[in-house]
Amino acid sequence: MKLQGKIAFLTGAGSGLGRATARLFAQEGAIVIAADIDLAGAQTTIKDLPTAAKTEAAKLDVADSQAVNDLIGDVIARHGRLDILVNYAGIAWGSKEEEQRFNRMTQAIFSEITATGKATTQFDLFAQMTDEEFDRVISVHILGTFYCMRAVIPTMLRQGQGVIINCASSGAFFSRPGTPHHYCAAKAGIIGLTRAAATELSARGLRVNAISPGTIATAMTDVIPRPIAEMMLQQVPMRRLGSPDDVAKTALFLAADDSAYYAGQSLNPNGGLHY
Amino acid sequence: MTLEGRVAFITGAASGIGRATAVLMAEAGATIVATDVNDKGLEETLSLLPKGSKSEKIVLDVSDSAAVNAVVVSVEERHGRLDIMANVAGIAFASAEEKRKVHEEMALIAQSLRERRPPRRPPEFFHHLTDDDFKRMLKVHLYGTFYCMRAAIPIMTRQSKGAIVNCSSAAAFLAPMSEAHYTAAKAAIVALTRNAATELGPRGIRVNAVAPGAIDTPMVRDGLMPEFLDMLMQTTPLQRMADPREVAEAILFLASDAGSYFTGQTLEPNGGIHSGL
Repeated sequence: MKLQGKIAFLTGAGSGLGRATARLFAQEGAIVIAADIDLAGAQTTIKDLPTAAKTEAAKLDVADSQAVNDLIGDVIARHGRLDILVNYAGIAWGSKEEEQRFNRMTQAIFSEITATGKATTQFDLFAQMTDEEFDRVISVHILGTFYCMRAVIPTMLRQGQGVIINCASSGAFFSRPGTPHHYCAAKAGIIGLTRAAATELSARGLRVNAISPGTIATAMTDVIPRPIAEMMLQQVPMRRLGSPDDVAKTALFLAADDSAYYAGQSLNPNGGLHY
Repeated sequence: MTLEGRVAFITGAASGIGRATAVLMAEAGATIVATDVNDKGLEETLSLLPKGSKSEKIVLDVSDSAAVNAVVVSVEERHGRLDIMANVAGIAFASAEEKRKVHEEMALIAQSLRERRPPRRPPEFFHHLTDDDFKRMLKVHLYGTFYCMRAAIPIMTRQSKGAIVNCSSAAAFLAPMSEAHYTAAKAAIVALTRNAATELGPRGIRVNAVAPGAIDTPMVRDGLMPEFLDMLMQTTPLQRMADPREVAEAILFLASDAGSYFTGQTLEPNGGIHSGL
C-alpha cells in the first residue's frame, strides 16, 4: 500500500486517465476525492473503489477560480489535510463546432487520399479558431491547473509535504498535422508551470511533476476518425495505444515515495513516440 | 537589401527587442509597421530608422482581439501585402502590485546572497499570484501572439508566402524562481509556434520563435534587481547581457530568406545561460 491514508484530490476523475488513476490510488490505500465537470462520471468512478466509504465525488469546472477555492477549501476543512493533487481535467476542442470543423477536414483529406492517393486539402484550424475556443482550452488547462495548485499549496506548505501531478501531453513537445493548436500550447504551458512551481516549492517538501502521455485510448481519443487513429498508431514504436492504466501507474510512481528525488520533471508514457 | 519591398509588422516596437528589430529590418529595406501600446516610444523608434525608410506607427494592444484584426487588415489595405510578422510585445509584470510583491521576495534572496546565509524565510511567489494578474500575463503573451498570427494567416495564405517570428524566453526552458505565469505563457508560445508551422508549412508560411536570455532592455532592467542580474551573469557563459540588436539579428535571420528552411524552430540567443533564477 503505497498511499495508505493519503488524501488525494483528482480533477478530470470522471473518465479516462482520471478514473484509472482514482482506482489505482484507492487500491493503494488513498482516500480519493474525484472531481469532474461531469458529476455522474465522477460518481461512477468512485462507486467501485475499495475505499468507497471514505471516498467522494464532486462536480467541478476547474476554469472557475471561485469554485476551485470553495471545493478544495471544503475538502481540506473536512479531512484536515491534502496530500496529493492530480490535475487531469482537460478538453481537446474549445467547442462542438470546432471539433466538427476538424472532423470535416479530416474526412475530406482522407477521402482524397483514398480516391487519388494524395491530399491537396490541408488542415485549416488556426485561422478559423475563435476567441472563445482558444480561451476555453487555455482556461481549462493552464488556468485550471494554476487554480488547483494555488488552492492546495498553502496547506501542503503547512504540512511540510505534498505531491502535485499535472497532466501535459506529448503535444507539448511534438507537432503533427491536425493537432489542436491551443491544446498543445496549453499543455506546454503546463510544463512551464510545473517547472516554475518545482523550483520554488521543492525546498519546502513539495514535489511537483508532470505526466505527458502519448496517444491513450480514452473517450477523448475514441472520437478520432478511424483513418487518423490508424495513422497515429503507425507512429507509435510500440504499435499500440496507451491504456489509462499505463498513465495511472506513472501517476502512482510520482505520487508515492518511489519518486522522492523527482521534481519539475515530465514523465512520458508514450510508447516511444517521437514524431 | 535582403528585405527590399517587404512589409514587416512588429509588435512591442516601442522599446527593447521590438525596437531593435524595427531598426534592423528597416536597414534591410523593409517597410516597417511598428506597433505598441506606447505611442511615444513608437515615435522614438521611428526616429531611429535609417533616413528614407518607409514606416508607420500604430498604437495597438495585442490582447485586444478586435483591435488586432482591424489593424492587420488595414496594413494589407494600405500596403497591399504583409510579409513578416514579429510578435515581440511582452510584459514583465501583470500589475504594479505584482511587481511590488515580486521585488519584495527578490529582496529576501538578494539579502541572503549578500550576507551569504539562507533567507530568513523561503520566498513565495506561486500561490500569491492573483486571477487577474495570471490572466493578464497570458493575455498579452499567449493570446496576443495567437490573435496576431491568426490575423496574418489569411493574408500570407493568399501570398503563398510569409514569415512569422514569435518571442518566447529562456524561461520557457529553464525553471525560474517566480513568474510561473510568464514561464507558462512563454513555454506555450514555443508549442504554438511548432504547431502552427506544421499546419502552415504547406502554404509557404514559416513560423519560428526566439527564446532570448538576459537582454539589456527596459523590461529586464525594470524586472530584475541588480543582485539578480549578477546571479544571472554567473550562469551565463558569455558573462554579459545581450544588446537587443543581438536578438533582433536572430529574428531577422528567421524572417528573411536566409532562414528559408527553418520552420517550427526556436532559436535561443541566450549567451549559453543554463539556470533560471
